[in-house]
Order: sequence, then C-alpha cells, then structure tokens
Amino acid sequence: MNCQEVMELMQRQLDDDLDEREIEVLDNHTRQCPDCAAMLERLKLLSAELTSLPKVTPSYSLVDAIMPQLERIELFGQTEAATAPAANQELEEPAPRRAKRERRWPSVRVMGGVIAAGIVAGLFLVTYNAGEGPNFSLTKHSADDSAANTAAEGDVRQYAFSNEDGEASDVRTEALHSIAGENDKSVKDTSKEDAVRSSGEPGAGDGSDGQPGKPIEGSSGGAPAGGSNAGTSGTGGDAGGGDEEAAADGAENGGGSEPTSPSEGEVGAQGDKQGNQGFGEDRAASVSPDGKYSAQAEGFVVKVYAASDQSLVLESTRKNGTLTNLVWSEDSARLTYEVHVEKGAIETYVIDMATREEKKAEHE
Amino acid sequence: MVEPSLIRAAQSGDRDALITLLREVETHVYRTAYYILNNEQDALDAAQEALIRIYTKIGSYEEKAQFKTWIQRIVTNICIDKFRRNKPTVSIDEHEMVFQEKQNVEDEVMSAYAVKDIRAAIDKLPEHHRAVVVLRYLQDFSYNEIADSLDLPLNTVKSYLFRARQQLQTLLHDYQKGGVRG
Repeated sequence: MNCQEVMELMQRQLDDDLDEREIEVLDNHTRQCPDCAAMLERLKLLSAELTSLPKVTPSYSLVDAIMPQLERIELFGQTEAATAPAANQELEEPAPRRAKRERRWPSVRVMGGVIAAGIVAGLFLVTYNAGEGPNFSLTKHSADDSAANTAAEGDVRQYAFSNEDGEASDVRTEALHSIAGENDKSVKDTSKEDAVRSSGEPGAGDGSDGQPGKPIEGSSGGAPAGGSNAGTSGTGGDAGGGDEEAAADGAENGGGSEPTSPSEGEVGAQGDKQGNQGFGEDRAASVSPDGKYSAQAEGFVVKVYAASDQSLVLESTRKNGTLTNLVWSEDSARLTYEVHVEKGAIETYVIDMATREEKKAEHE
Repeated sequence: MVEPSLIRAAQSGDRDALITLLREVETHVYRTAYYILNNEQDALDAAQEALIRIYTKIGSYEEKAQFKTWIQRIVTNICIDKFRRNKPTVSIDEHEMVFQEKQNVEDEVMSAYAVKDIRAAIDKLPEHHRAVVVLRYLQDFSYNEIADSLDLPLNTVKSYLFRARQQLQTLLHDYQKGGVRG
C-alpha cells in the first residue's frame, strides 16, 4: 500500500470510518513511514482543533428579530399562499432582502440593477420612437437574462427602500407579484420595472407577472399561459388613462405571447408624459408636474402626499381592483388613474386637486 | 434535535409550534452561517433569511429526509449564494494581524489566535469544501448527512472533506512554521 492510499485511510480514520483491518493496515504503514506518521499527527491535530472551534451563538434572538416579517408573511400567506402553490416560493425571496436593505443598499449589484433597468427602459423609448414597436426591446429583454435578472433584483430592493415600514405590506405585494414569473426573467424584470415606474401599483406588476392561477386582487395573471390572458393585461395598457400610445402598445402585444408589453406600454407612457423622472430616486411615486405632490397606489387606494413634508394630502376611496397608471394633468390640477378590476375591465378615475374630490371618468 | 411531533404540528398550521421550532434551530442555523461566511453580521443576515425560508417552506418538508439536514440545506444554500456575492472581499487581514503580534502572546491569547488561524484557513477553501467542513465539525454530521444537506454524492463529500482537511493542514502548518503556534 502506497502513501497515497494510506492518506485516504488517515482521512477516514479522522471520521471513525475505518474497520479493524483498515486500522491495522494504517498502523503498520505509519510505523514504517515517518512522513505519513507526521502527516497523521498533523491531521489529528487539525481535526481536534476543528472539533473544538467555538460553538458560537447569535448575539440576539434571531426569531424575535424576524417576527415582524413573519407577521407580514402570515398576512399574505392567507391570501396568496393559500390560493397558489407557488406563492410560498415567491414569499421567501423578497422578505429576507428587506431585512438587510439598510446595510447592503449601495452595492454594485443594486446599482447595476438600476442601470440595467434604465438601459432597458431607455432602449424601449428609443426603439419605440423609431417606430419599431416594443417587440425589439422585448427581444433584448429575454436575450439578456442576466441583466434582466440583476435589474429585477435591484428594483425590488430599491422599491422596498423608497417606502416606509408602514407601507411595507404593499411593497411586499408588489415585490411578490413581480418576482412571480420565476422562469421568465423578462417578465420578472418588466413587471418590476413597471411596479416601480408606474408609481407602485400592485396591478401593474400583477398583470404582467405571468403567474398562472394567481387570482390576487382580481387582476389578470397567467400571461404566458395563453394569449387570452395576456390580452387581458394588454387591455390594461389599452384604457391607458387616455394615453393612446400606451393603448397602442397594449393592444399590439397584449394578445401575443409576450406579457411584458403592457408594462412596456406604461413605461413609455409615463416616460413621455412625465419627462422620465430620474431612475435613482423616488420612482415609486408619481410626482405632479409642479412638484408639489406625489401620488402613489397603496393597496386598494391612491394616496397623494405633499412633496414638501411627505404628509398625506388625500386618499382615494377604496377600489375593488388593482390601481395603475397614475398620471397627472399638466397643470397638476388633476390626477388620473385606472382601476383594473376582474375580467380585465378598467375604470378610470380623476381626482381634482382643488376640490379634492374624485369621480369616475368616461372612457376616452 | 427537533421533536417530530413539533414538526408535524408546525406543518399542520400550528404557528406557535412553528415559532418554537425556529427557536430550537436558530443556533444551529447561525453557527453554520457564521463559519461559512466568516463574518458575524453576514451570518446574522443569512441565518434570519434561512429562518424565514424555513417558516415559509415548512409545508414542503417531507419526513423521509432528516429535519436537521433539510435545515442545513436551506442555510448552506443561502450562505453559498451570499458567499458568491461577497467573494471579492474575502480578506486575509486576520492572519497578518497574527504575524505582527506573534512575539509576545501568552498561551491563552495564542489559543484564540489559533482559532483565528483556523477560521482564516477555512475562509480560503472553495465554498463547497468549506460547507462540508462546517457540517462535519460544527454540526457533527456524518458523510451521509452532509451529502443529503448539500445534495452531493457521497464520494464527492468524502473527497471534498479529505481535500479540505489536507489544504487546511498545509495552511496551518505554514502558519506554524511562521512561528504563530507550537
């Protein structure tokens, strides 16, 4: 038996894996081979030291620390985990990220994600303006899986970042919806981008997240499953708060197999209308042209905050659907948004900032 | 280790049982994370992430697997993910410090540095080798339990463990020759 073979015996001896015959072979060899004997001694010493490594314990109760997150998961677990088997997997991803958002925020990854999202959006705008339609950018999307993926992550985190804890549940919802398209990265990406850019309505991510059979908030899921569903979300872009460009995009791609189109439509629409607010900050809210207000869909209501001190200016009535496409009029007097109710129907509401009243708008 | 009845209660929706279960495993989860990541703060993060994942996935645990290996699989996956992200920042500061202070250390302190040496050496191992070592020595797992946890073939586990120990032995032997210990 050569030294190499003995080495394996030595190793296994450290794990008490030798039978008597093997122990004898090992002993015989080490008695005659000082190198192996020395090696065995060193390995035994190493193994003893590894065994006696300090049995560290956490400096605080980890379970207590995650309790608030568990509570939130519990809330969503009842609406989502119960209805969709895949929901569990979605839940686990965004939750932990939230836990460390303060520490990890300025990482290269996140910045990379933001930049990638910007490139994707910019690409769309360019190609869109060139009249090629969104298909080109969509191809890019799926072609560059890794970029899309990074972008997605960056956005989730960014989004969570721009919200206070009080709104955490909404954030979570969106992140979940957005992340739902596990096996379709392009979907994942755009839905997230969408959630961020179009003022964080759950509906936006929801409609395009491509998770079949996830009947959350009555929005249309299951885009990749078939044209009909995608069409539903396409109509989301369609009503578009009177934005005909968005409508065109939505209609054009809604029936196809590329569920990203509605969100792309919205990105374009918002970018056009609002001069493309910076990527770096506050993409979750739709800021009025005069900069006084920022509007945001939170769950089933739209909230308008004063930009100066973030105080709540007004809150819409509760809507029975997902809220999306918050668009300010040019004089900042009115805020239009859409409610996507079940079966793809869309209602448009207008909030008058002077009277602080909202009324249902006729379809344009 | 965790009682099967507690696991079953947790799986059937008893939230208190699930929380109790998490409390029972949190130290084990943290310890693995601590030695794989070699950083307390990262370990705290990873362990919390793992506990949340256990919480949400408890329903998918099947009794044919050992619960402790199921848990370690979750935490090692998270750690290896994190480790990949952090890899460029792996530092060798720790043993430089050791060399600077090697002359006048007392025995007690020396043993503390020995631990640092070992941790620094573990830190140099490739991620899966490191995970195998951690499960073998910090969780006292058998070859088979390690194989289950890391979803690796038994022979791969052995070869990782053997190579890891050889590499650690070489590294620590070098440290010794540098006069740190012994």
